[in-house]
Amino acid sequence: MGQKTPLYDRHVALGARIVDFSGWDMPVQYKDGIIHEHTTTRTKCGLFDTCHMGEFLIKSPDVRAALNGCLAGDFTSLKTGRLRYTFLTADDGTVIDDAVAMIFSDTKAWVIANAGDIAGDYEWIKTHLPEDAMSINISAETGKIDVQGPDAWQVVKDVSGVDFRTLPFYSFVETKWRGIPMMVSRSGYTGEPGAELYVSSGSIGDLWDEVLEKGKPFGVVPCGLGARDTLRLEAGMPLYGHELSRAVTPLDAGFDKFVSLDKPQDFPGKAALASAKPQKKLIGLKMQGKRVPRAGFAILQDGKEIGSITSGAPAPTVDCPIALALVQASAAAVGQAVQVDIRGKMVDADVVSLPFYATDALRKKVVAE
Amino acid sequence: MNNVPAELRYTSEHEWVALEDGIATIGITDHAQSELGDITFIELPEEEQTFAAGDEMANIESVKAASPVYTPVSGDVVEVNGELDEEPGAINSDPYGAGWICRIECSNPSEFDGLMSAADYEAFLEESEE
Repeated sequence: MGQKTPLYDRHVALGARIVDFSGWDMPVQYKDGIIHEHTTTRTKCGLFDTCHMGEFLIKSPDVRAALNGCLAGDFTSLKTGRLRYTFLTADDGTVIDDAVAMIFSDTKAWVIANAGDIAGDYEWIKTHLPEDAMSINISAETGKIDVQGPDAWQVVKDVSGVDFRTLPFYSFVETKWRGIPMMVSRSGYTGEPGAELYVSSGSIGDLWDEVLEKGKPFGVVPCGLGARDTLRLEAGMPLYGHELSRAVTPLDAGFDKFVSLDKPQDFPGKAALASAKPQKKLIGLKMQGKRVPRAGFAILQDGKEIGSITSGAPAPTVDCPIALALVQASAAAVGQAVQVDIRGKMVDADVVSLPFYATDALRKKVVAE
Repeated sequence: MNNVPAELRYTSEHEWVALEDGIATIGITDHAQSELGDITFIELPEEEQTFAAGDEMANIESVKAASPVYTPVSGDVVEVNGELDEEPGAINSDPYGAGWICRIECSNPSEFDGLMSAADYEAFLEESEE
């Protein structure tokens, strides 16, 4: 028995299949299945329980400088109300975790981390913050759900009063919902326009119920980790433990723009990353045929092994199986052909540019009425 | 909960078998398709391929994973459900009907008698859920 989010009983009541995810009992899918949840999120709206993720409150006289000293990105010019994707890197430059930092004010920020090792991430951040900073692990008291899809803005507006389309992509607002503090963040992990909603964990169940109720006219469906995975894979987004790990640096995985070697602050791994020449790269593959490449399968080019699959799945929106893979930096250019060893069968695949799926609506901003 | 037709025999790997005139029709159970979720592809055996009971004869790809299918009986494949190439989802929607996988001419019909009855399989499912 693993840890449960406050929404666990609701998942069971909705007919979810529960699986272990990094020590958490999470829904992998509900009754109608992963493909239905995936396509509904692409065409209407999907609702995801992300309460298992970690949240850390950080306060410091200069919180941007504090973040700069422990995370790989540069937060110096990140405005209040914005968030940014970033990394926790070890001294050797490899990835301890990926995360998002949110700026609430000049002195207050949150870091959102993966569920896999919340305590470890928190200790790591605490250790690397400057002496004048304080931090609290607020994961247990923080509830989070994601509302994603082309109709998500209507559902979120009906629930919170906030039309997130008026916000820049990767920004958030603080508001009140039923008299309690709520955050609406225009962000997500699906490639669709959408929001991540935060309230206290004690109220997240009521919020979940209200999103399902008010989302009914828009066809909202609850989605499990299965659809979350295929959606993020189509959107070319990494998953820690697959594309990112202690075996790769952010530069190996092509995330150069989220690593700042110019900022004045030192951060763990900065020296190693400054001198490192990436040996690997992250590529996208489209498979010929219907056989599915899975994590760990070998990739060959001209008969030589060049790397392996990190994530692969049938892709409902792309219409052929797709994969992300880490390969030798010198191999597998976009447009070239490779083979994937699928249980002893060499299956042809094409190296394609990422993402596999994109929509203009993701970042599109509208003027408030 | 589970749909377990009384006239079929079953394995602990969740295959079903129907035997008629020495020909075994094989598929996976309703429980198995439900556990796998959306099926997107099946690697089918080839006609005239010879298997021993317990051999991997097919491989089913669902969104989350690839799962082997083992033949419960020994013999030669005499017919393959080629419809599944186009409609692998038939295994989800009709596991005991349109979702059948192949037919094998049994070289040792006594293997069939060693398989679980519907009642045994239902008890087995209940046991494994505990």
